[in-house]
Amino acid sequence: MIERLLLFLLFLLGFWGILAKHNIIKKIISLNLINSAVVILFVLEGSRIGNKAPILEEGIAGIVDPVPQALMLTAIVIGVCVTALSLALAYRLYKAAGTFNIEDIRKEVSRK
Amino acid sequence: MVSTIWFIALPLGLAFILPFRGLGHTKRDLTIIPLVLTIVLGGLLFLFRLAVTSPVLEGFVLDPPLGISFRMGATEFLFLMIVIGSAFLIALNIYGEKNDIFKGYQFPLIFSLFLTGAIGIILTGDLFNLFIFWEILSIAAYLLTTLEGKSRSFEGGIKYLLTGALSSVFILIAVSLIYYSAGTMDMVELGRLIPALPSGFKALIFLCLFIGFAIEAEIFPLNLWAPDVFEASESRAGGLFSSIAVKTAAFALLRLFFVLFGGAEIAGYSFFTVLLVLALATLIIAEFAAFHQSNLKRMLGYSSIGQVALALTALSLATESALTAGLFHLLNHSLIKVLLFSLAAFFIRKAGSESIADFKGMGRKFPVAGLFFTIGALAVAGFPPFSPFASKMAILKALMDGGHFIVLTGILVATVVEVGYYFKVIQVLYAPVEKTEKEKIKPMVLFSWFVPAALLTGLGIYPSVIMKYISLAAGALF
Repeated sequence: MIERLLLFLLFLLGFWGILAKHNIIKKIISLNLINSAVVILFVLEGSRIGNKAPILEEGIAGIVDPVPQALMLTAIVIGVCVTALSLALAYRLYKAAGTFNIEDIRKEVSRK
Repeated sequence: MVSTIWFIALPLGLAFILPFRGLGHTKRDLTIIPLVLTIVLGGLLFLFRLAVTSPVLEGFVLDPPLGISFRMGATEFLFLMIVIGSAFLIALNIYGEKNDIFKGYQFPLIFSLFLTGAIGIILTGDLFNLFIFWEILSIAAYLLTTLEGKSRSFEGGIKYLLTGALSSVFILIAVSLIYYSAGTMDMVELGRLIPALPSGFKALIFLCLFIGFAIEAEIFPLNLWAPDVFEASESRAGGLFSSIAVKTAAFALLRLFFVLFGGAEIAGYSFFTVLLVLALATLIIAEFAAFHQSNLKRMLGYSSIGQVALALTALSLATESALTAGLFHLLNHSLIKVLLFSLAAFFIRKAGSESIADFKGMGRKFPVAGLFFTIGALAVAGFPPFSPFASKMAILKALMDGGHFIVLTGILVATVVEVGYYFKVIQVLYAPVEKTEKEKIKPMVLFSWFVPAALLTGLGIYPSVIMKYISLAAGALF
């Protein structure tokens, strides 16, 4: 139960970061926090029925559910792609406006 | 061997080979690639026309519910028709115009990925697969926003990305909750299992999925990002969002309501009431907001939010006649927005400005473009003989039958506002100016305006041509 609570806190932390922070880089970090919270939750729940490697041989019992792990690998890859793309966009905005602060960028962009 | 997998394999494979050397390092105009792709996909869809009456279910590697499956029935056919048709018209417009920002391999690549995502969401029968296609669609959409390469488009892009990433996190949470409660990802199987779950848990899953899809379907209060994105992106990219991405999100919402949560009876009436109230609020707020816009793209964006909300209002009634009307309106709205956004691109380029006030007399300088804009504006405002008139009347009739008179009044008020702001634009377009020499419009561009305008008129006069497919699609959801 305590793990779930911690993950929920991690999720809330990321959510707060996305909504409240003005710095784009901090927003991107918050996005990663949220993503990690969900991924860890998924893997954690999958290991409840057992945590041995899923190799089907005689005498091995209590194997982990392999489906969540396969799915989360995909979700992690997607997360990396989105992070890379958002960092590229942040870089272009930094070159254009000279700052990572989203409010200042907005002012700079509308002034042009 | 004709298989539904080609709908994914063709655009995805194309996106994969495009960046390679030889194609990648050119500044050549490759906009013919998206056009050919949409024509091929259209032909492929034609081969599946029999799926309307006898649905095709294909499992890959393992049979469902264990493996991934694609399903093609009447509803999927209708939405694929909307998606591929709109993509074709926009690709035709872009090919005809030869604009610098669409040069090189980037646009065809993003366009193919965008189509892969949209088609995948419609066809797939697996929930995690839907999440992956959702991500492909979203990432392509962020890139489409930034296509113009101005700092404003990058700002819009990052705003879209942060909101979109939140939406996919919510979908991912729902997917994980569903997997641990039901132990499968197959949607048909889930349609049997989810209604049996405890109601609190069911509500949590529903809420997560709803937030995820509603962000992209631009439902209030989750649509605050949308007007900025429409303003920041090129008009044709806005047309792609409005006629494809939003329609795909609406389809995902339909899946959620009717397949996952087992239709009207089992899901309980309250889910639909929530959607009805939110959709009505979205419609009214969006139309009033559109009235105050001075930027054409922003105005069209708000109008798009409003029109989709109108269709969702009808869909949330969950009766077969209301669903038919709502789906018909979604189809009409795609045609309208393809037309209006292409014209907006033309006017913005000619005027060198996006402000409506700067379009003074454009309708006199370019009479053909002015005529098509007037047709589009009249159609979206619901004037006969155009087809949105028929679909709006059907929605109003469905509301009347259901006894939702407050909703009915709300829609009528919104329509009056809508007529107001579109007429404002028409008035500006035909403001008297001194005559300048007329400029030729390229025949391809003209054709890409003519087709949606002709379809809007034709379907308005003979709606029975398409109604057969739409009522089958509505019936297939039950």
